[in-house]
Amino acid sequence: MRMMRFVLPLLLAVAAPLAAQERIAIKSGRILPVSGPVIENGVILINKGKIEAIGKDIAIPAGVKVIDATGKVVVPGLIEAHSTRGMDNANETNPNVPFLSVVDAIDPSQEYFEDCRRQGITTVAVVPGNNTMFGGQAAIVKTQGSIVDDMVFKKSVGIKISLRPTTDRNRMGHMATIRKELDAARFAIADKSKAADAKPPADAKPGAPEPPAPADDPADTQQRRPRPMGGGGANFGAAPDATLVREALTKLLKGELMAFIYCELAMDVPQALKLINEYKLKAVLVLGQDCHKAVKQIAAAKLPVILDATLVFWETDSRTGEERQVALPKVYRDAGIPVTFHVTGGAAGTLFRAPNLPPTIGTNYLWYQAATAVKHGMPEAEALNAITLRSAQTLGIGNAVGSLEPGKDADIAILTGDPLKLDTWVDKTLIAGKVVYERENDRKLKALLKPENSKN
Amino acid sequence: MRYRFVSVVLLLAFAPTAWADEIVVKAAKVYTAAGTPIAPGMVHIKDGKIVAVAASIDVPASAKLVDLGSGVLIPGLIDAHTSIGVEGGLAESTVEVSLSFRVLDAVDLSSRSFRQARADGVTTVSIVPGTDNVIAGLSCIVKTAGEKAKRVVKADHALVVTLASDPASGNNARNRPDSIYNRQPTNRMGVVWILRQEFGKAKATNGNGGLLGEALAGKRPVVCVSRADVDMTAAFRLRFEYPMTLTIAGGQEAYKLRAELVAAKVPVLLAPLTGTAGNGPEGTETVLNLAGTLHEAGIPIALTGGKLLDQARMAARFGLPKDAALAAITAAPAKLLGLDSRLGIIAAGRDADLVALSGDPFDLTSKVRWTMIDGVIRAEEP
Repeated sequence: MRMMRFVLPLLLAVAAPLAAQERIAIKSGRILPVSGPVIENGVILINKGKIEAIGKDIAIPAGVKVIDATGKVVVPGLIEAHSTRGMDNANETNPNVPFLSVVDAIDPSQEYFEDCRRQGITTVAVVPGNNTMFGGQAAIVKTQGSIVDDMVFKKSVGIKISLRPTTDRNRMGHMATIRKELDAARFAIADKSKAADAKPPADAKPGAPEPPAPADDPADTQQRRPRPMGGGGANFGAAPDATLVREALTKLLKGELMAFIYCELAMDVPQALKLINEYKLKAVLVLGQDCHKAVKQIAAAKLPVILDATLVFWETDSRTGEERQVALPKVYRDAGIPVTFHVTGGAAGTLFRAPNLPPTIGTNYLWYQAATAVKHGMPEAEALNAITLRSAQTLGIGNAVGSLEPGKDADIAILTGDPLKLDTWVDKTLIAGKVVYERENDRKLKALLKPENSKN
Repeated sequence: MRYRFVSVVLLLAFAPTAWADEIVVKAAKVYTAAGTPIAPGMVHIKDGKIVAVAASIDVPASAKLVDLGSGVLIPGLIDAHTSIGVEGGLAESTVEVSLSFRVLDAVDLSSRSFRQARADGVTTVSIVPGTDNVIAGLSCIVKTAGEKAKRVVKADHALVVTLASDPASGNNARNRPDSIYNRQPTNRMGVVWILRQEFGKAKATNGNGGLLGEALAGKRPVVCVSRADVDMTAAFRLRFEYPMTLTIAGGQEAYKLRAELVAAKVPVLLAPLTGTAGNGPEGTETVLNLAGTLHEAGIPIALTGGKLLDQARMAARFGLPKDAALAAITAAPAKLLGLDSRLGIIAAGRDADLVALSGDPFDLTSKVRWTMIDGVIRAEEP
């Protein structure tokens, strides 16, 4: 108690300067706002974590903390619209868990988030992996925070639906189960009052008497219950509660949650479009390599698209051996489809042996993916847009982040040169007006670039 | 019906398109990998060899002029440690020592992986067997295109050994006591013991020790796949006991052994940087600027294992000077393979192995326009 008396004023003393620095100005940089033309030698005024003003002739009020960006290039913080990293595991063992939230699995101390800040990535949609059916609810997080709650920007943004059948199932069965679950949710909405009578209250308080058994015929539940995958892990004791599944899918059908629909093959694309149409889903297409064969349908659907992380690859005809290199950014661009990118998943360090052709460092950087698109014909401005504003719009948060405009979050990356260039580094990263990364203080990066001379 | 046209187009794209015996290539810049680039520059090629390199060359009437416009020329890329083209398994899994195995016997010269390598600008590869065995056998050096008979640059090159945890992995006898896979070694000590035993046997024969004898006499290079400090240190120990011409392949932790590598004059064939920075295969502590750090210490390096141009670019980003980065995929591997009189640089008398790029090699947006091998343009941009 006595200790507390001393600690408290100390805490207040620390908090005071923070409040005084609510206003920050970034001056003299070359600003690429993405939403508008380039501003040479511009100023960005930040107030309470938001951009207050941006332009060429903006007076910087006295007493405002100034970041001098002379000779630097200022861009919006990058946004990765689909990441399966940052979690302890990308997927739950049970493939039918639309009610789960990635927030419970996000580990803020993972190197991934640190590396995001190092790369100027300020916002990430953490989405359950593709090894699932209804994989759980994605969350949008900022890449800085010591506990996950500090990072969450939008807790429930959408549900991952994977059209790739899980383990031992054919696509027939997989699609049927997806429809069956969506139908059940649809009926639950249509017959709301009856459902409310028959089901236990969803918000049963702990300690309350055991709710009555669900109205479902147990045999029926058993039958439709998906088989656990991969040797069977935790399955929440028994099957996931049908009520929970339905509640989550109801939100999907009402448009409260988006559907991140993963199509592994081109054949999955028309199936995805049918689902979207039948159930009026608000969807984002997460497309595997093969899906480029369905660009016509994808173009007609006019949905947001997230490309596979392997942007350039070879396709071989199994009969003739004819092969051709496919550059996804070019194929989609030629079809008039706006796209955004994500990066190759990361746990290559856990490989025991160097595989035959390991992924070269590069495709695990978002800026590099955009640069690859430029290599294959995308104009630079569009490529930068794809990893900032378009990513934000894909996630439905285009009004809050993704470009440098008054009123938006002050999520900013200050670069040493033009974006998407080999020699450009992130100098500073700001999230909500707070500097969360400074290259000059990045001891880890320094060690990785200039290791100690000794053996220790 | 439509498909017929598509296949014709595809076939054309991969068929050799310039059969002229004599070509003069004009480029905005010629990176010779042997001194200052020539800008603009011209390269005269005849009968598969480079005849002349200069700022300006009179095009003989017999020659065809290929003008790259704003494109540039670099030497054909050389991958000094790869396993492309090997059909089937990369190692004989029933034994731990497969001394006189020749990887060439398992190389399918028509493998499509060569075509893909060509499209990436690679003209020569040193193909090595896998890492399952302590002594895996002999590597071979081949061009990525050409008449089969002429493609093999060197049939049996280096003796490839693995001093890492790979040969010991999965050899736990308790799991499958009755299996043919029940073999030694089961740990790192065992790996070194087997090597020491084999070298010891060869030494005892007084010059009659076969391949290992050749290695001990300095006539047969030894490529040792090692990634961790502990393994490279063991390799040095072995080299002290049995002097040999040693090259380290992999080398993720080589930055920890700079002094030893310099003192022993041991070059390193670097494997690609993978995944998360700081964590390589086997949990090795790798650094982003591995290539630059070794180069700065004066250790000869080559970047190997595919995607060479991308690797050189990233190495340059992390600190390797750009001229050294280009050399690390051209002149340096040629020298490390003992082929520098024939390959690796753009100079008169060398093989006409060239890569035309659309722009600066260190611009991420530059593409390979075509790859020329022995004077023939083999892979054109699709």
